[in-house]
Amino acid sequence: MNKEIVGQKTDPKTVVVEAGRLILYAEATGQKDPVYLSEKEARKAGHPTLPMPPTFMSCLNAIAPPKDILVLKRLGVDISRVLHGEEEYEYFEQIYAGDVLTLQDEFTDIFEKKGGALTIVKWKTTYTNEKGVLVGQKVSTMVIR
Amino acid sequence: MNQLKYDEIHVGDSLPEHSCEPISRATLALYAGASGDFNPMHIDTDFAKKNGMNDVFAHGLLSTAYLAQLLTNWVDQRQLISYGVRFVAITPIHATVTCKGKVVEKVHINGEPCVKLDLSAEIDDGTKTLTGNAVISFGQTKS
Repeated sequence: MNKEIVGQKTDPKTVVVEAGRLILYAEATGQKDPVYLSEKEARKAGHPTLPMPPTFMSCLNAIAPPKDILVLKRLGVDISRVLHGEEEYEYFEQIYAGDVLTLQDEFTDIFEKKGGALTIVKWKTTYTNEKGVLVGQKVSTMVIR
Repeated sequence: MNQLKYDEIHVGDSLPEHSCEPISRATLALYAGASGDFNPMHIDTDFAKKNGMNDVFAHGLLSTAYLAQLLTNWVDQRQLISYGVRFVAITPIHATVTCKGKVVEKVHINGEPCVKLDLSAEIDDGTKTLTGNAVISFGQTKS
């Protein structure tokens, strides 16, 4: 277990919230609400354009280049040994298609469970828009077998 | 969307349930592409078997998305303050996920009327796959 990673931050990475990607995601998740499938319907519901759904925040981490999986890379762990434990989101402002977000990851905790059989790692991602406003935050927990 | 009034919501109220279509291999392939999560444990049966599983299983974040739809079917997304899930069991291929929510508290946060929800997702045999919580504001919505 590498305690030293707590407090380590990654280089910030920037990603555009693409409308086409949001619609693909809505389709992939069986979304029936037209607000998430059509810009026109989103406007009718009082949105300036397509809203980013609440859970797409996690996808931004995977989509934003470089496309590496932080926890695996930093800990040198094989992907088949990792299970998702928890995902906790906070929403400060609504995120929309076209927004340009900067993501910053920081490891916040690492500890062992079941006498060292499992390692639990937590990290926080902040999402800041092009105006410098913190629009959301996420804490992910991964379980390494 | 129905415009829920804060006064009409009571502790113990259940949200209308939300179910997805049975999860197929095509669902997982499409989700992998859309989400950017290409973990082969979810899309490559050979890889899953090599790593001790009987078959591929669904991405936890796919069920997290279904459970979020329970929330956005109930209120406008701009009312969502926080949402959290814990992954408690694997969702096998072909499962149908049913999402449930219940009002557990009415509370003012920073002067805004809010409700706290307990959430869960379960599969066909009743196994809980996700437990979760959310806070919804009934005050000013976000821009």
